[in-house]
Amino acid sequence: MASEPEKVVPPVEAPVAEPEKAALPPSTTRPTDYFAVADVVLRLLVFASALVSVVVMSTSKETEMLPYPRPAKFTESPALIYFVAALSVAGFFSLITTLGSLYSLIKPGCCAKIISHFIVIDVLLLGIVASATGAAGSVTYIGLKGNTYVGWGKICTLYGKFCRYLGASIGVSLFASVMLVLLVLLSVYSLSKKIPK
Amino acid sequence: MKTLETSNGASDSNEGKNRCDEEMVKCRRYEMILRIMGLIFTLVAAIVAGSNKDTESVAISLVDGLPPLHLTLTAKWSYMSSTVYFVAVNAIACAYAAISMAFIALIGGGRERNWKGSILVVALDLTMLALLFSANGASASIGLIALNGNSHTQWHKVCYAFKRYCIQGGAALVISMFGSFFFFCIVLLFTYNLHRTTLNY
Repeated sequence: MASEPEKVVPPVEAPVAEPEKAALPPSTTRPTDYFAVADVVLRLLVFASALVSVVVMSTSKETEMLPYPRPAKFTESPALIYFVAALSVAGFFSLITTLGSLYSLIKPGCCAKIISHFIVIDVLLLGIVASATGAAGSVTYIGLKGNTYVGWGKICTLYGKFCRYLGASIGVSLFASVMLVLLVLLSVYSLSKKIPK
Repeated sequence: MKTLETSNGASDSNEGKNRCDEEMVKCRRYEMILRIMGLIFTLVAAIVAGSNKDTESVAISLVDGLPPLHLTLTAKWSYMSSTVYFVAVNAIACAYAAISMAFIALIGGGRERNWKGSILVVALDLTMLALLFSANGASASIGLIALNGNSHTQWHKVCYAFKRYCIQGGAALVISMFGSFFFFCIVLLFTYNLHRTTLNY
């Protein structure tokens, strides 16, 4: 008679304990997706470096007193105008893809197809940023060293601050293109991980 | 009834895999064609730009009253650092296209089995793409300055005197742009393959 209440009580306790255990796992068993986090970080770096390049190049105006005030600004060279335009486009598109991959990080499994579309955008941006870096770099190099065969003189001895700003901007855009290469490699690697062996 | 349904399902998935394998062979062929085209175009661009030499008699007027001075000047590709960079990058891209074709033909026996080799080829493809695009941009900007001059920096135009040199340089630039487009298509083809392979799973 005394053993029956003991047998009755444990089964009542067990169903009460199970819902508590069932409530705990979903919040703690989701692993951190390092690829998605690295993806967002790299895209933010690309956006930041494109923004820095554009800002530094745009504010690189310097006025020197030859007999009359002569300003040196980036709008005087078509290659530098192309550099600013190309990097602004790259910054805009990298912002869009950053927001896209951030959204994919917050809600995992929502947009798996979009990652391969982002690879195409990243390769296009790489081409654009690399060509802009090459164009601006060649003009700045001639401004730095001059060219005696063609009769083009150095301008960096006269406009020191202008050339320093240009050099910094081109260096940062070179960093942006390296980040874009790493980004495409990361996306390709993370897509390849999904293929079961 | 159940056994019939399962056998139909298995044959459907087998057909899907066979179609994927057949298209893999086709894609491998397209990739080889693209690499060969990239090799040819970058080789031609390097040769055309590297054989760019022109000797002309240029009329320079130092003082307005006196008749102009006629000097025999030479324009050579090695006198300008950006054309040297252009020739070097096109030569590197051509050599890389040849080496990567040999590498893929020897070792690339299906993407799933040799991922490290595949990722290396993709990484080098991207680097070559970036280098080619930057060389195109550099050569184009210097060519534009040589064509139009830049009054703000006192860089005078040069192409009116060396017409053949500038036309040959422009032709090399266009050919190299086609070559870099083929390198871009190689990366796109790889991405398309990867996208389709992950869609099946």
